Amino acid sequence: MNSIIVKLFQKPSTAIGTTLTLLFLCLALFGPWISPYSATETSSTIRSAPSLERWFGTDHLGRDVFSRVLIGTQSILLLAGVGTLLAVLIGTFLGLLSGYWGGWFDEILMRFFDSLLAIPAMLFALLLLGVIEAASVGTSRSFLSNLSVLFVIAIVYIPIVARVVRSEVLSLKEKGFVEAARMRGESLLFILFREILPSVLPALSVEAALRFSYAIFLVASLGFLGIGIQPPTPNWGLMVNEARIFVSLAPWSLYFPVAAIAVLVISVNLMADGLKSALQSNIEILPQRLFQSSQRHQASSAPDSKSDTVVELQNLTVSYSQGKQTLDAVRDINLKIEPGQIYGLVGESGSGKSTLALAVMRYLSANGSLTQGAIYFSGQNIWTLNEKSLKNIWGSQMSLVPQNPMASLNPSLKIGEQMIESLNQKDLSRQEALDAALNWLGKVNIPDPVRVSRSYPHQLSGGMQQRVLIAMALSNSPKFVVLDEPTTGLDVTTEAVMLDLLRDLIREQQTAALYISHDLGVVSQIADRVAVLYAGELVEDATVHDLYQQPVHPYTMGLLNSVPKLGQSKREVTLHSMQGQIPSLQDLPSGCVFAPRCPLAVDQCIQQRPELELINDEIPNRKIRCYRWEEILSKKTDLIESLQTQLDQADPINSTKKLLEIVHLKTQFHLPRTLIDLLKRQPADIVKAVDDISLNLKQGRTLGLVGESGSGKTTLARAIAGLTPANDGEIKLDEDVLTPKLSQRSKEMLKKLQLVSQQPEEALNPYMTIGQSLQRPLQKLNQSSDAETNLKNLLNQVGLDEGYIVRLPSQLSGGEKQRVAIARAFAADPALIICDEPTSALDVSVQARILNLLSRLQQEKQSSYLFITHDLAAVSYLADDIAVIYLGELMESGPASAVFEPPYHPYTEALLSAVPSASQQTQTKHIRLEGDVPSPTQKPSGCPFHTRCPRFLGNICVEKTPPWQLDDQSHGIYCHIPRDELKQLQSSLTQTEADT
Amino acid sequence: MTRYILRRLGLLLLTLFLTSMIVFLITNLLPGDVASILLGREADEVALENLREEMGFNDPLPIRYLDWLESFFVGDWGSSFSSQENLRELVLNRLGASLQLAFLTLLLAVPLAMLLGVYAGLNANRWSDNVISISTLSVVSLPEFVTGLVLIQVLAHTLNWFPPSSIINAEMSFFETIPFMVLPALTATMVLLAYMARLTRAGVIEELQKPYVRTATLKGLNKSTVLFKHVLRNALLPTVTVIAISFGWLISGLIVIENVFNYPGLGRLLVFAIDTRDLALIQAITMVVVVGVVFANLLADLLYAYLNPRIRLK
Ligand code: SF4
Ligand code: SF4
Repeated sequence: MNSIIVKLFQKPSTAIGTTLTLLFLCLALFGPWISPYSATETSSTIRSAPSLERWFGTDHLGRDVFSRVLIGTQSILLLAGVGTLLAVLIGTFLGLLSGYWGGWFDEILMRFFDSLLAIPAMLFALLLLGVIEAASVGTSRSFLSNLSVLFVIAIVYIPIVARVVRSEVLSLKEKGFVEAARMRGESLLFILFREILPSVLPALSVEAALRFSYAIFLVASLGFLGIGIQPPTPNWGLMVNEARIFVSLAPWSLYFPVAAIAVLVISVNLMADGLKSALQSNIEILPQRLFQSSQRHQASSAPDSKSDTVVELQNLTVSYSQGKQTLDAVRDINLKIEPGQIYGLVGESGSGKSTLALAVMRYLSANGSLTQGAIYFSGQNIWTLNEKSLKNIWGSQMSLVPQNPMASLNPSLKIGEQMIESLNQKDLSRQEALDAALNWLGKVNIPDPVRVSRSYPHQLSGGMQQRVLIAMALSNSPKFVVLDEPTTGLDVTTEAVMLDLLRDLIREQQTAALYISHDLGVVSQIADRVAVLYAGELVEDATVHDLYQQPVHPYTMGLLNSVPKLGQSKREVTLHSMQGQIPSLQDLPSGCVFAPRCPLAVDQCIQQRPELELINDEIPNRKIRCYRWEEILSKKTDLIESLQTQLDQADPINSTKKLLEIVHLKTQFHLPRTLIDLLKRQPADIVKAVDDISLNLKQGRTLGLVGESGSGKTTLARAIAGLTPANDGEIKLDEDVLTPKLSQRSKEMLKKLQLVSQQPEEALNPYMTIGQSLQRPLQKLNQSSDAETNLKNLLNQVGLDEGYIVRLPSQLSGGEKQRVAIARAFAADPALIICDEPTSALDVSVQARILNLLSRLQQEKQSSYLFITHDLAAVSYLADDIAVIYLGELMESGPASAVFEPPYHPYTEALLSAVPSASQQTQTKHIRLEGDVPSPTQKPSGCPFHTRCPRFLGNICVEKTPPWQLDDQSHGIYCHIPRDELKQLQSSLTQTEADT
Repeated sequence: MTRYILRRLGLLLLTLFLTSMIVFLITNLLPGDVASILLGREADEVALENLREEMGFNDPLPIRYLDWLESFFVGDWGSSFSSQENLRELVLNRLGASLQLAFLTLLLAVPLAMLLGVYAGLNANRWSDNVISISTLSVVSLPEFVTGLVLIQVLAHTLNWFPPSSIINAEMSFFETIPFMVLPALTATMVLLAYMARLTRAGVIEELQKPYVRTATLKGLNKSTVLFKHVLRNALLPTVTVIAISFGWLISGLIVIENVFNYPGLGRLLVFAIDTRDLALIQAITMVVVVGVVFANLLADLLYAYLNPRIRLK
């Protein structure tokens, strides 16, 4: 709050506005007392000019203009203020309810508000006031008309305020902290006012300030029209109206009220405007300005590489200016990329990898600059080029495949047009360009290039959009291409296909490439060499083979060991978890940047920064930034052993008690129908998000639920949690049948089931301390006698100390927030915890700690998990049993060991084959899925996987629902191919893999 | 798209139905009694009762509403309580005058607002943008009567360029009325211009930050191509909606402006109706404006949907 006030006074215009507004408020309070005359007192000197005695002169009746303006402040601010207040209070309440409840209440209210808003504000005010005036002939009108002005302001602004609040609530009610409150059975009022309202307040206060200024505006205008406000009230608008007639005789009686109105409204508006920008999160990196390319450099050095090196970075430092500070985002980078080489650049968020990529293309945001070093592209220093030569390089010799394909294509241009635009460098005729474009769309395996070229981006799937961007980037056969996390956000199966495609195309064209990713597994699939970036510095640079076979830098080692390998289980190893987190640019350690987290750090590391050394003697052309690399290489340290602790835990609990049983569960969504559909009695399109799934989870075990996006895994989890009620089927928890709707579940049911959701950023109420967030479930569901000790215990269990009790979520890192969210779930001491992708939003090094924590807590508390993920390695690590779903249907389920061994369901087989793993090499031919996941409204008949199944049998798969083939270990597969046959087919495949 | 149009049309009917209900209820439920307004306070009970019976005021509310709605759409708006003039003629006549003013304003304001907004957006946070932003904010803040009076002072009284008030009568040809329309239109333009320029600026800034601008730039396209073909195509698309939103705003403003300049439009008529307590006239004006606003919104929505492939091809 304080910081907002500070910010308000930083910008001069806002400061002036706020100060003046406050001044007017003071005048309104004290005006009547300090004014020299009363508002209606007349004197004999009419229309006298301003003088020392009469500062603003007198009007046509001899009244003192200064006093009237002064006293008028009160009435205008009072009317506008109280009217706005009413509108804000009522509007907020209605907005909260309508956003939170949704449904018919929301629908009716919004339609009603729409209709109110169709009547322009001034017209509505005049309509109401006109009717009221007409009706109240002769009665004492001053009070009544003031009341009706208030009423008018409130009515006109309630819909506007309500809509603002409603839209805030709509996004807030999906957030983890609100759902957590629902899952512990909080009352409606608690949720609305304690959980939601605080987060609405910023937007609401901006809206209130704006409404206030419009209300002043409205009151003044009504006064001017002489409606609703009668003489002799010293209303400024009314004064203006009266003074108009005498403007040539007594212009002062017109000017001063006009000036008062102008200054007041502008002040309030300036304040509102400032409030708005103060509350918007400050964007740290401004976008690049269209008319300002990053500043040019003077040539000072020359490349020192062979003539055919495509890109060379020489001692590169890139900085961002932030206020008075300059922060070096990447420092001292040296890198060379040769033709045909794919250079991987790996780093977690905050490592500076995107900055580096954009600096290479000389496309930094407006506040970024190259503060040291040089970038050579084909021997030319790219930062010394003028705009024209830069433009000749962009697109034709150097291109980018960006992250986030949907946003990277222009939504209102056809794909064909956007393709042609990329090609137009070469003076092709339009027809030639179109042919070339279609040819390229074919090259990236787009099934129907002509149709796609006539489509708009939103008509294509994410995978298709990314293919288009790849085609665009490669279509001019550039010398160099930057790939900025091009597969992030795509499904594993699509990612695998995309990596194959990229690898082939880049090899074929002998393009040099820089492949940026946070995922070591992905990079190992495609790159020849990998540079590891940590906190803006290169810490290790080696060939893929060397790096993965023998990582040397402690950070690289840590990264590789913090991801579980496919088939590794929590019973065998704990994952390596790195302490702490990546340092912020403001306080970088002075020695080795990794020293605060490094298990091998010695004094020297803390005092002095190590150089990136070439360790040619041991391994050719390998670079390390670490003092202790020799010891590490010769295995003198015990680091490697200590990274993953081998465990020898007992086998999973073999309880036969079914804790959770789901029987034929269905969750469907109806798409809205139009009136015509209703008349034609056309049934609504139905999305079967969860289509007849039966599963069970045994006490003390972890059931992993695996599926790609659109598989319905999250809907299933939410149906069990009661957040998205199931339409059909039964959920049984611990012998009790759970009602589909959360609100109907008893406290006992609520206590047994808790949820950890995906987004740590949204998991905690930003306006509650960690202590408050944890206290509530302890009181509500645990009824513990000693809440204080419980709270401390709870924090200790998730590895946080008592200091966190008083902190706010904004002071915590993502990983810490997720720990608190886990603690909150455990507070109720539930029988089952649903973990919905709890690690997918976190950096690799943090993921490991969360997985370890979950596994340790399960050991200690004998709790059971339903673990939902798209990450097969994570599920193989944590789960005892696994269920694979596709398009809302179960494909395969059983104990983890059985699911990860042949026979697999053909879909599971494809998934496993697509997993990029750091250890895996790229030689074997993998199973790749063609096409996209079908739209959920048009689910394929028979076996839902038949449109993409590599083992498709023919008609039987299309026509008949496959049988459930169960073995004696309760491992089942839905497929028409008999288990034995599947096993045979699949074992032979693994066999050949092992041979090669 | 057809689906979309049908949905919009359905919503339009609903909105019209609800707004007419609101207007009807306001004029019928508030305290007071039309009969006693018409006959004055001293009228005797018998006369009042006769009048009420005659005007159908004793029927149940829903029936009165339907009757009223029907006669409105049939065009039988009755005559003014006070002057006995035919309401439809009077209102439509004045509507024409107001529309002329509105169109002149849009003609001036829309292109200028686009230019200013785009310019400010492209130069976001530089001094030129700061100047534009602060001055548009100030103009938006001023009530129309203030702007109007300032313009009268400067352009009419001091410089003597235009007449300070609109003395228009029915005999004048369209071209003769133009000089009288300039000042009111300028006033409305100032306010609308500032409002629309601010919305356009925000749109341009938002669009500039989108990744597809980077894609286009890194294709090596000319800056003007990036600007016109990519950025503005998307940034100006919502302008259609902006104009529609501004329409309601414009009408509010025009009501006041017409009274500042004594311009013989609906706004002036409305204030006259209120002064003479002519409920039927108030109702008729409100309904006409509301129908206009609702249709303008529909038109804008359809145009937007047509121009935006993301909706058109759904
Ligand atoms: S230099 Fe020291 S702190 Fe840095 S990575 Fe090597 S051992 Fe660790
Ligand atoms: S039933 Fe047919 S389509 Fe489905 S997984 Fe088995 S082989 Fe493939």
